Amino acid sequence: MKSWISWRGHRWLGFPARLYLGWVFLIACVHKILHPGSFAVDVATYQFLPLSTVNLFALTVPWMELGAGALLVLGIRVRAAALVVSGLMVSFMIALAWALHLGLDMSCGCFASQAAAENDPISWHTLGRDAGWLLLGLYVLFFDHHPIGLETLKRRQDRCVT
Amino acid sequence: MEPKATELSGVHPGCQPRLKEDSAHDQPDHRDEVTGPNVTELSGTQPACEPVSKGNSAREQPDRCEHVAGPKPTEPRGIRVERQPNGRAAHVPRSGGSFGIVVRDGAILVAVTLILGLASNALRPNDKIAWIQQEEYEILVPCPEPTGEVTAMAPDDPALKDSASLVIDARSPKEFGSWHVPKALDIEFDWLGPPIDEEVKRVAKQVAASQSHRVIVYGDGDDPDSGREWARLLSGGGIKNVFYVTGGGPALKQRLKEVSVP
Repeated sequence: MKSWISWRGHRWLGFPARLYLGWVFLIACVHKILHPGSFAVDVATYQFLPLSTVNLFALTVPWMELGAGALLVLGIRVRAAALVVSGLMVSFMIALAWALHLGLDMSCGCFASQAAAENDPISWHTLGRDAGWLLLGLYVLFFDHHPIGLETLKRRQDRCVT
Repeated sequence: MEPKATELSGVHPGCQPRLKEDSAHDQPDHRDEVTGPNVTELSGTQPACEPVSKGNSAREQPDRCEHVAGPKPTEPRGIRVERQPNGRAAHVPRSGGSFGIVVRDGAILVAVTLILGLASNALRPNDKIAWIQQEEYEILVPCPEPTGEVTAMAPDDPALKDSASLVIDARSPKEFGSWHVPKALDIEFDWLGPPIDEEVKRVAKQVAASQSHRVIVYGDGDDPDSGREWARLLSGGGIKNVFYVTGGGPALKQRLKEVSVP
């Protein structure tokens, strides 16, 4: 098991996983950052968070997606970014499961507002998609110990200089 | 003997490792030989390792290694040594270090993005929102209502004239007044109305009282068809043998010649 965890091939498997996951989060954050009011309504539609926390969630989560997505793509503090991404995915999945349990006929609001995504209703398929992204995040978190990216590149250059 | 650079296979291409200046030229650098576990931390917590000779001569080759107090290693934090399959050692940069460091970095990321989010909202010229919402958002989410399976029926189906069929007109009272199937009940389907549990129960009682074998619903024939939606709700409410007429009222009016304005 230890040799499997320390297998150096993980960096080559983790690299496309990171790029894909980072791309997904970068795409997802754009609308939410540009239109926080719409995203706040989307969050409220889930009827999951208390009203007092809806706006704070809507204001901060898109920037977390932006930061974590950028770090994943660039290869900086990859495992920390994967930890944040995994945490976000868990929270999204709980909210989704809650909405599905209530039987709410609504759109996900993951990449666009409710109004712009009428043809993207939440379903167990949506939950499965999020579970896939969560698995990717956990893979990067626990296995990609030697990520390909700027941080590793800079570390090598620093060691060469010294 | 010339100093021999230790091979760092595959780890630092084009980068030569630095040799210990204070070691004897004929003494190998034991810091590159991992004698214990596979991975040795060089983060300043391990005591230095010095070769110990068997004999008195300092030029004899050492055969073991003891940990003694000494200066801390000069490798930067976050570097570890891994034993390679060929027995050589490799200096490997650690990404994020232990899980505690990962959690710490994650917390920093969250804190920074939290500040960024709040600051960006404060700097918005127009559409900034309050940190804490005071009034409830106006959310329009259709109430979930149980629906069941229904069967389509052609407008010229003889079952429409069968006395064992209970026919329901789901159109508006105005449309019902202008034209309807004989003996049809006027029970309008309200798209935006409240939950219709009571209405379904009322229809169920009528079905039971009429001793009908089937319920046939026709609506406006649009897309979506109010007749089909009504039929699905009735079926979801526990009524069996519910049908809807394909094309709704307009199709029926064209097909059934005996229909007349009351």
